[in-house]
Amino acid sequence: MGEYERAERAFQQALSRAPGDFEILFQLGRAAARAGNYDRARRALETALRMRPSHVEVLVELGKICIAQEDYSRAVFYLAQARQRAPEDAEIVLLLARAAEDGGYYDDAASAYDEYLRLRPGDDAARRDRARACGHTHSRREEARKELEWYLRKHPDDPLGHYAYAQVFWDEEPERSLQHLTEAVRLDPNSVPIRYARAWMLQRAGEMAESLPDLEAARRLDPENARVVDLMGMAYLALDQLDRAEKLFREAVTLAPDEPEFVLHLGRALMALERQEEAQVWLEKYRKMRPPGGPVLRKRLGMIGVAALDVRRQRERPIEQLRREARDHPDHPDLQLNLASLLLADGQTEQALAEFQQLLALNAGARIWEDAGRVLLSAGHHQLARQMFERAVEERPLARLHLATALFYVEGPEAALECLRQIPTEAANGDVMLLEAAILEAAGRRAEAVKRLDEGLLRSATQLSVIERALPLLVRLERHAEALALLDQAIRTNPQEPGPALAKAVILGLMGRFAEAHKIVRPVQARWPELDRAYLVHGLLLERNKQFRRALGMLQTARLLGSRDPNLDCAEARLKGAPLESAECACRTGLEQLLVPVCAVPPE
Amino acid sequence: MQAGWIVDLSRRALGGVAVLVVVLGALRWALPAGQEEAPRRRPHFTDVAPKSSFSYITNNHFTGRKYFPQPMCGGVAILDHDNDGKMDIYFTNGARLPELKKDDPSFYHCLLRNRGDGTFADVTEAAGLTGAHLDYSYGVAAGDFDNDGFTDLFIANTGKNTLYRNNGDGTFSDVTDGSGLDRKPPDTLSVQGAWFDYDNDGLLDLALSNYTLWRPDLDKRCASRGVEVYCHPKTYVAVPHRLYRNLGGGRFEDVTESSGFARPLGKGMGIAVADFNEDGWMDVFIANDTEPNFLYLNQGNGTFREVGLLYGVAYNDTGATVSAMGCDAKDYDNDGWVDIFYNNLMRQIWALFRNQRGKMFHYVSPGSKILALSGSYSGWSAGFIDYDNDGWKDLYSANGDVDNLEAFSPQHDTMFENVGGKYFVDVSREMGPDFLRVGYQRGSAIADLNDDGFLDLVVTSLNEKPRILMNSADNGNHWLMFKLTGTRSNRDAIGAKIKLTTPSGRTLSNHVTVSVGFMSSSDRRVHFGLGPETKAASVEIRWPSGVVQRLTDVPADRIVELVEPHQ
Repeated sequence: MGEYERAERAFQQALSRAPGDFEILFQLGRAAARAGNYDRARRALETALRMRPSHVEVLVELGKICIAQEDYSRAVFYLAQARQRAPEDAEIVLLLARAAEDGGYYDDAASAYDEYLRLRPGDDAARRDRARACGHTHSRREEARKELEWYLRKHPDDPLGHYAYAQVFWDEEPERSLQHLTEAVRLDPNSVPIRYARAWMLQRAGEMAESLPDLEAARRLDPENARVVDLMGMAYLALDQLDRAEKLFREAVTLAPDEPEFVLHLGRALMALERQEEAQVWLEKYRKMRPPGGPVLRKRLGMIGVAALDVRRQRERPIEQLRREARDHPDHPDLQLNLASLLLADGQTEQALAEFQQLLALNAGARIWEDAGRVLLSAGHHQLARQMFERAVEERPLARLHLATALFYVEGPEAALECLRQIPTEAANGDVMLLEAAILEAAGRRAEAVKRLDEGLLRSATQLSVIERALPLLVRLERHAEALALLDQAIRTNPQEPGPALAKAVILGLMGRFAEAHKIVRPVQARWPELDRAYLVHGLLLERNKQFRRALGMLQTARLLGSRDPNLDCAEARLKGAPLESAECACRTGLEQLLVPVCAVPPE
Repeated sequence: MQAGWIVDLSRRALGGVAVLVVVLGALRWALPAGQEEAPRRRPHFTDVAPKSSFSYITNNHFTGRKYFPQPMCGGVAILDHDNDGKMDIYFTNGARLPELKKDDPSFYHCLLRNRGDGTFADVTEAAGLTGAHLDYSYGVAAGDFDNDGFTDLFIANTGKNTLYRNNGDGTFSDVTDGSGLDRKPPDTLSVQGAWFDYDNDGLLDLALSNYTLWRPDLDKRCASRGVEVYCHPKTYVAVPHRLYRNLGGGRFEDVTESSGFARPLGKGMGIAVADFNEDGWMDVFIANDTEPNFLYLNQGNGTFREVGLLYGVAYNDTGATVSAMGCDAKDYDNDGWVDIFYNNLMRQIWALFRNQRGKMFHYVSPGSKILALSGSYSGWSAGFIDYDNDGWKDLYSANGDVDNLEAFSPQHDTMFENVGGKYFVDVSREMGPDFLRVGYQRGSAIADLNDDGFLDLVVTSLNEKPRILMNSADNGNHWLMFKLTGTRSNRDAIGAKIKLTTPSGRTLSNHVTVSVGFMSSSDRRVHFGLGPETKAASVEIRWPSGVVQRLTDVPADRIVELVEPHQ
């Protein structure tokens, strides 16, 4: 165990003794981040941020974690807030500039670099980097050229300067860019990105054989770099050395199986080798995994500006911006979807539904309709969700699952069941069967429900999603022992997930086996002291066991840790004897509802 | 001295195997027989349109509001409408928007009769081809669908498409209604038709590229940085292309579903027809705008299999779709296999696909330098043209950006010269000032308008007069052209393949097609540049019917007329 892992363990133990302690939570987050446990670090630090929304160090740490996770838009958001609170901290501004640039927000990045250079005017490297960012903007490209030329006159031996020039002007000035890359290689022959870039430029110029030495050097330096391997394959394919090309493409696909381009290249090499059947398999795979494509919109200026606004304007400004962009770009239906979703999340329901309607008039495509359907379904707008899913199902057959759910609420169980029957048998996985079981059970067809449930569990009982879907049904059917057995299996196969253990504690609580339930919850709290849900579960267990004062304390810790679960509000209200204001609280009566994500009543 | 337009006809029967008609073409320089001379300079092009009196201007009715169809306007067809031996020119045109009416002569189409002296006469009204009753028109395809010896016209429109039958007396009749070509799904905007005989029954069938579903009231408005722009193609849905089988008697059957043309959906632009796998059946390549391109392989049983992805022509080498526009299919590297080219918008890289012996295609844009040459241009119509008669097919593109917002939006055309079938060089700057006129070029056709054996160009530009670019034909290279007439095969002989071998051993191949570029229809005579060689050692013609005909020792610099032998 490394130093940071030890620190993480220590803070974890401290937090379990003092849950909700901001300082410990912060240190836990930092230690987890240093140890590379980013998800955990983010969870701890987001909890800390809810406690102290203006804490600069928390914001900076979250920014760094988001950068490490390549979640640049979020990184910019956090770092911009940090900058707002510490405007003279040059390091924060530099971090912000880099995150914006890495995320493709070049206008924002250029502005951030401007600010950094105001604080540190002598940082030539930052000036170089600013020029690179400016080179990708619409309005500051000429400035980029002048700045880079100035930089290269002053620092002719900096390979990054030459590389930056090529990165910006490769399209407009291919020959000059190639010269700069050649110089960059001379200055830093061990830079994989520079070697790759030069090879790529040479291939664009039709110099396939000439690209190989750079690629071979890059491969020696970084043998697991799939892009390098793939580009080598392209060279050999163009040189008609098909066997070598095939071998390289296979290697690239092995290194990066989720990269569609490599799959395409392998398919093409196999066709060139006249192995059509094999090629067809890979090309069919490519067709399924190929990203949708479409016009690329320049990422808008203003990311940093938004983070600097007050809370109300932070909500309003993205909506205004999205509204404008969606109107200007009907060819970007994802903007329309984002606008509608944001309005819904903001509580502007009528407007949101109008915008979702507008989405139906656009050439949105199956993926967007399915995504829209899911948003509407989870918000309880079943009729509109149904329209979305009906459009999506032709290209995305598994959207039928969601369509069935929507139909259940709109037309009742028979319509939902009829919809599910249209899923091809080979695609009917555990999720499908368990949904069918749930619908049958709601329709009062208990025996059929049980049969379907058993079939579903038999088919794919190891998937967490399937188990989650099965649990409420098993509870309603009073098959608690089976539910426990499933969860034990899930705990064994997913030791890093707290969810199955907490679900087991809930089931034990429903069975009245409170001592056993507590024995499960406590280690979860010790292991994940930053996890608000563990305290929520514990609190509801205690409530069911009529230990009301302890229950309330546990629930307050959950709240301190930032829980937004609706069960928490309802439980606190019950324990305090306060009136139940939310209609949802009529449904959320205690422990059982922890297993039910949406509290909705189907039609009679 | 320019020799002028000299035509001499003589008929000879050769051994009962073939009927050979030899036409002596005009020569700029009359060289002593057998003398070979290396090319001295590159030919260039001169616009002779100003010498003729006609009012046609490509009118897309742009008055500020940007309607979806407006970037596409100005198809060109080359046809000898009156069979006087001289190639005439036909232009299509737009309509008033949003009404979709040609309610003003400025929207009329135009037929120019070739006078043979470098000028053209506007005979549109007399021919009945104004198109006044049509809506916004796009592509035009010239072909003799009824095999009566007179070239007819098919026009793709926003609404109902149009079939004009040539009456044989200089006039045309609209015979669309009841032909079967009047039928397509509602609101389907058609871009281009391509004549070809897919079932080898001797009758020309029609492939139709469709773009999307559109009506003026469905038109979307888009903006960028506060300025109205033409919407990206992704704004509109993809649709099926269509295939119509010629039943004879002026009737066509829509065989889209049964033939396999109905799937997948596309946004069709240019169409190229050729036998890509040399199995004797004509295949179809359709360039799609921002959708994968389609290669329909003829299965020989009335059906097609779409193999664009499998054969490597659906996408570029990174798997991206592009705004594919005009296309052509010819053998650019003289290996005997028909290759594919299409252009697209700037920064997208024009695509050259080299045919790998009928098994698949390699994307060779980088190695052929097309990648390096094309990045600054937005191409629309395009075609292979051996403009300098050296035996290597060069690439012409009619250019101009979609929108009119930037300084680089109006562009000049390009000529990429083919160097030994290996790579291309940009020789546009040497093509003359008329060639380099900047504008928003759209349709183009390749033809030998003065029968001098050097290929000329006709190009439309949005809201401007078209150019009729005559090749200076002054580099001394030799040539041969073949005008084929089918008897068992379709009369236009579309699909006939010609392989020519020169005395030095070079083998050149070409085939009869008029579907070249975007919205346009080129000269159906088959052209070969011979370089310094003064004859073809052998010529082999494979007719669509399967008949094979061979000639030997054919002297250069003439148009050879051949009628399909009976066996």
